[in-house]
This record gives sequence, C-alpha cells and structure tokens, in this order.
Amino acid sequence: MEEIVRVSNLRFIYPDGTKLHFHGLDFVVHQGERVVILGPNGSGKSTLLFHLLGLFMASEGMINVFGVDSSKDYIKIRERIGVLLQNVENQIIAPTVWDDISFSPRNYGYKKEDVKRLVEDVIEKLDISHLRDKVPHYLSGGEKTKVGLAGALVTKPELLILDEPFEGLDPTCRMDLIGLLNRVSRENETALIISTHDIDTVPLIADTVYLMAMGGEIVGRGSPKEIFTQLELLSKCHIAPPVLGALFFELRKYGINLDVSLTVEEAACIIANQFVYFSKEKSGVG
Amino acid sequence: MDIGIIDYFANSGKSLLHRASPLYKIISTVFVLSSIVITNDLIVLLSIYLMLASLVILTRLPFLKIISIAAYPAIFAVLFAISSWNEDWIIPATIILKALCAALAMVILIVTTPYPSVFSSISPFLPRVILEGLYLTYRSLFILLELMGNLLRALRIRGGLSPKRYIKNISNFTSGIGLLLIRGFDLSERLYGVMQVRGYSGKIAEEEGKRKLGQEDIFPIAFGLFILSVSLGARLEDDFKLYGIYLLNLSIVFVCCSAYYVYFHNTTRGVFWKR
Amino acid sequence: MSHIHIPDGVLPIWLVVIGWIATAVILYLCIRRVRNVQLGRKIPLIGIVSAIMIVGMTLEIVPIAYHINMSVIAGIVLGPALGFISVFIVDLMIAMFGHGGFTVVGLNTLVVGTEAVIGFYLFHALLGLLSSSKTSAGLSAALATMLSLIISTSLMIGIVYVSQVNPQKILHVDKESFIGKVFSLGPHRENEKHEMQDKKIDIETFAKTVLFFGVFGWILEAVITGFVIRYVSRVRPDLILSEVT
Repeated sequence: MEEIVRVSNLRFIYPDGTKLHFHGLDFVVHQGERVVILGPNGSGKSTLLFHLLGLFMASEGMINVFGVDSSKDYIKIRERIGVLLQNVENQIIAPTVWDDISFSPRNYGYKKEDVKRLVEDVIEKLDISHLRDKVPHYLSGGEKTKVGLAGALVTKPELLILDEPFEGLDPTCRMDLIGLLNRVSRENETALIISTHDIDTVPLIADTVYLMAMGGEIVGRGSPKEIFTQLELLSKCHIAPPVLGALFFELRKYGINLDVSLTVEEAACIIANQFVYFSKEKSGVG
Repeated sequence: MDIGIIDYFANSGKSLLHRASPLYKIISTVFVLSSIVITNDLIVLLSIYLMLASLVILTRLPFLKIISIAAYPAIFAVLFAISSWNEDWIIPATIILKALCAALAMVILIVTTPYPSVFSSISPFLPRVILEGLYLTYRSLFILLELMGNLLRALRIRGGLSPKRYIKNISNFTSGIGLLLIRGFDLSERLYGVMQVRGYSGKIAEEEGKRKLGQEDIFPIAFGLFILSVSLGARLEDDFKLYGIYLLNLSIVFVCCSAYYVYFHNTTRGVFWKR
Repeated sequence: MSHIHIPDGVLPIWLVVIGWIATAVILYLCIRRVRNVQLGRKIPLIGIVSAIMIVGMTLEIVPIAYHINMSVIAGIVLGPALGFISVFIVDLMIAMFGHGGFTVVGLNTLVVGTEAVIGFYLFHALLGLLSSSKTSAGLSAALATMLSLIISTSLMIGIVYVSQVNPQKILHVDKESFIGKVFSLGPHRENEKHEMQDKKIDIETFAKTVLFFGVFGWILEAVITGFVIRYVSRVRPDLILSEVT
C-alpha cells in the first residue's frame, strides 16, 4: 500500500513555551490503513493531528502528507482530507444540517448538481436524512457527531482524521460510529487516523496502533495485540490495557495461560474452548 | 485583541501597583486623566507620558507590549491631527500625545487591576443592569475569543477560507459571526445560570477591607496628585511653564530610576515594591 | 467610524458634560423601560452582543482607519433600550482598554447608541416592506445599517462642528515657547505670545476625510450585519423578533 503520511522528528513550541518533540519512531500511515494514536494527556496527539491539517507550523522536522508539506501547502491537499474535531460543535459552521454538510464542496467550487448528489449520498449513508433541515447546533451529541462526520466524508476523502471521536458518546452511538468508520474505510479505501483515550474501542477499529509518551515521543508501533501485550511500554505511557487484555493477564496469575484476545467474540471463543478442554479432561480423569 | 493577555497581566502581576486597592488606583487614574484634559502644554504632556512609562516599568510587566497596547488610539488621533493640520506640528503632536497619555493611564489601571475588581469598585455608581452587563461582557469576551479561534480553524480545514476568493471568504466569515453570536449566547446563558446557582445575585462580592487606605495605596494616590498639581500649575500659572524643562528632566530621571530598580533589582536591597 | 476618536481634552468641557448628561438621561429612560422585563435571559445576550461589538471595534482596518461597530446588530437583537445600554457598556470597556477617550464616552454612546436605536426601527420598517423576500432579514439589516451609519456619522460630524474643535483655539499651544524650552538649558521667559490664528475649524476637510473613508466602512459593516442577521434569523428567529426591549 502506498505511503500517504510521514512525520519525522517534528518539534513544536506552543506560545506558552510548552515544547513537544515527536521523535523516536516515525509516524507513517498507508493508503486505507486504520491507525490509532494512544497516549496520555500532554503527549501531543492532537498537536500531531493539527500538524497534519496544516494548522501548526513546526520549528523543526519533516512532515509529508500526500507528498506535500501540509504546513505549507495544505490547500493543495485539503480536498483529500476529512476531519472530525474533538469537540464536533467547533467544526459545524452553517445554519442547517444540509448547509453544513455541503459547506466544503460549495467552497471548493463544485457544481450545484454535484454538491447535491454528494450531500444526498452521504446523508443516506449515515442515515441522517431526517435531520437535513435541522439546526445542527441544537442536535444531540451523537447526531452532531454524525453531521460532523457527514461534512468530513462528503468529498470522499482519502484520509480521515478524527480527534477523540468517541468522547461523550453513549455506548450505542460509539458502536454505530465504529461500524460506520470501518465501513467507510473498507468501501472507499479511506485511511483513518484516530486519536483516542478509549482503549476498549481500539481493537475494534485499528490495524496499527502508535503509542506516545509525554512530550511527544513515539515509543511503540504495532497491531493492537502487539501493543497491548507490552505491559511495561503501556505503563510508561500511563495506559492501562483493554479490559479483555487485563482479564487474560489476571488469569495468568491463576496459572491459566491463554492466548490474549482483545475482542469479545475471540475471547469468548478462547475461554469456551478452554472450558471444553477442562471438562473433557475432568470427565477423562473421572 | 489583547484581552486575554491583559487579564493575565492583571491577575498574575505582583508589583506594588498590583497590590494597591482598585478604588485608589481608579482615583489616581481619574487624577491623571483630569491632568491630561486640563493641560495643553506639550512638555507637560511629554513628562506625564514618561512618568506613566516609568509606572509601566514598575509593574514589571512586558514594557513594549503594554506601550503598544496603549498606542492604539494614536491611529485615530493621527487622523484627527491630519484633519486639523495647519503647517504647525505642535498641535497634532499635542493631540496625539493626549491620546497616548490617556490610553496609557487607562491601560496601566487595567493591567494591574482585574476587571471584576474595577467593576466592583465602581458598582455603587452604576445601575444593576449595567453592572451585570459589564461583568457578563467581560466573561463573554473570553468565550467569544475561544469560539473565534475555533471558527477560524473550522473555516480553514473545511475550505471556508481560500486564497483569492475574497467575497466567498467574507461571506463565510461573516456568517460565522452569526454562529458566534448564537453559540456565544448559549454559553453565556449557561455561565450566567451557573453563576446564579453558585450564589451570584447581581453583585460582585468584594474582598473586605479593600476600601481602606493602605500602605500600598499611598504611591498611586501620591503619583496621581503630583501629576494633577503639575498640570494645574502649568494651566494656572504662566511662570510655571518656564520650568517645563526641569519637569521633563525629572520624568526622565523617573524612568531611569524605575528601570534601575526593576531591571537591576538584585543589586539593590530593601526597595519596598520588591515585596 | 461614527465613533468619536477625539482624545481626552480636545473637545470643550461643556460639550463633554452635555454628552455625559444626555447619555445618563437616556440610560435612565432605557433602564425604566426595561424595568418590567424579565432580564434573566437578556443579560447573557447583552454580554455576548457587547463582546462582539468590542471585538469588532478593536479590530482596526488600517488602510481605511475604520473599525466596525456592529451596533445595529445590538439594536436588532437586544431592542433599542438594551441596545443603547449595551453600547454604553462597550464604550466604557473600550475606554478602559485605552481605545478611546474616557471623557468622550458620553458623546460616543450618544452617537453609536443612535445607530443601535435607529437601526432597530429601520430594520423592522424595512422588514415589513420586504417580508415577501426570502433573504429579507439580511437585506433589511444591511440597508438599515447603511442608513443608520450615514445618520450617526452625520451626527458625529455635527458634534465636531458644534464643538468648534479648532485645536489651535482650544489647546493654546505655543510653538516658540516649546522649542525654546526644549533647546535652552534653563528657564526662559516668553517675550511674545504666539498670535493665535482665528481660523475656523476645517470642518469641510474633516467631513470629507470621514465620509470618504466612511463609505468603504459602511458597505463593509452593512454586509457583515446583513450576513449575521440572516444567519440569526435562520437559526434563532426568536432572538430578533421577540419582545421589544
């Protein structure tokens, strides 16, 4: 798969003097890859995303998005990128849902009929046609997230950047969003870059996980299973493993050494097999 | 817009002026403003400006930043000065200097006194609706500045601001102001509700003893009275003007002394505003 | 630009005092008018509208020495009485920032308050005329802003004219004396008084300057007000069509 993002040894200083240095591993994303960034508060997850969006200018280092330096030439690549900010309300601009979703294509100069087709497509895909004439500002949290996502997806971006997208969503909305993002990624080969604190959702949505420590150091990269089995690394980043992972580690203390699984289905399967094995063993002995 | 930084200066500073009571700082500012109104002597105005600059140094806040904040009215004063140009540079200079002095006096007050303390001090003279309006305006400014930052970011990443598409940009941004109004109103309303739940009833509680004249208040009051008496002297006594050059020299000495005490304070001991 | 950006001490004291007294009287009438209105919801609105005005007024468009007031928005959203109160709050606060003379707060409130009050009535009158149009709220607001600004700027020029602000007359500045004092080593006595030129204030130049730059500003402000009110009318029509205060 083609590489679409690379960030290397980036340094950034906030006006208040807070320094971030994204060193250690390079941050790399490929076409269609679903990447999750994990790290404690202050590790610079959002700062890294803002660099990709050309909102910040690094004092040092290399950033490459679709072959250009996004801090200098974001305009050249902006139609290829969709964004869902941490507080979705901050990205909703227009007075109605329809106006807001059509905001980007209208501003990119798309023809009226194309705008209409694109908006109708995305509204249908996200199942929000009943919201089309509503004022987005007064929708529920889950609905606002869907409207924000629709606005991000309307131009069929190749890269979707999501900053804490699950924050404030109830479990049902969260699962809906995960399903939706996976579908978008699969159908359009859209790469996802997601920053989150919601550890339990990571195995459901990530191909690759990046682990960041305080100050911006990128200390780990790998599949969710590879990352969540490195307890020392996780502890360095003040991250607890997902509940299911923790369960398997606890079982080891009781001498039950099972292969760690991070999804409910897989874990159920492993535990059930173990039960079957135990009962067979028991009946054999009996 | 420097309100964020002004608020930070007012709340974080520890200088003598920061510690002085808001009421006496306001009185001192009124003295200085009155002096600026009554004097038309360029040298006196220049001296007042330099003395105010020495106060800025004593606040231990970034000198150039505060001078630049207070330089804003000069833009309009220049416009006015140009319209009254009569091949005589003294009058435009006097007009501009008056604007600069008045602005600097106000800015010194506001960078050393948090807004709520100023409102609290003038509260006996204002009706409740104005007082509450002042306070909510002050709070709303912070809400608005944050919303404005978010709006600009959203416009940028969603294609609302593009090079060379000026009309579209203006249309997007101005619609955005409508959004700021609506969202700002909701947040301001929520804040007002929370304030009421937490015991706010239209009056900003003032710390006890803030109205008593304390040791720290003597300096601003003395400063204000000195400036006022100089201006009155210059206005009423023609002979006073003859000593203008000495006043100017004195103000330069003020600036030098302030700079010496503040920037080389490690070499001096027992200076009372170092506390 | 309808703001009076005349520094403290340039306008005659009688005019400054009249400005303050007139503003105080109007404020008293406004407060009486809203006495029976439930202000709980209006206070936060005053706060945010005033904050928007402050941001607008402190953003200087340097090439044309203009800043937008957004006072008509205040009038339309808050109504004439609260709009006037909001303008006073704004003038008081920007004077605290050093963004204008403190003594001219009274006169400034009169001028900018006029925009808010006239803007409100013109907006509703125009809205009645254009109600069939889809974008009537925005268009009415833009036209109301344009007319209000013309009126308030004329009022401002009128005040300057009435004040007879001939700086030479008011300031009594003495050029020879200044140069003598600065460049001599000690006190010296003025032997001759500078002869004051009794020229009339060049109100024509002043008016031309203000009106010339003003036109760009009026158009800009009308466009901004139009878009803002259009947005508000679509999202929260209750804010502009509720009980008049």
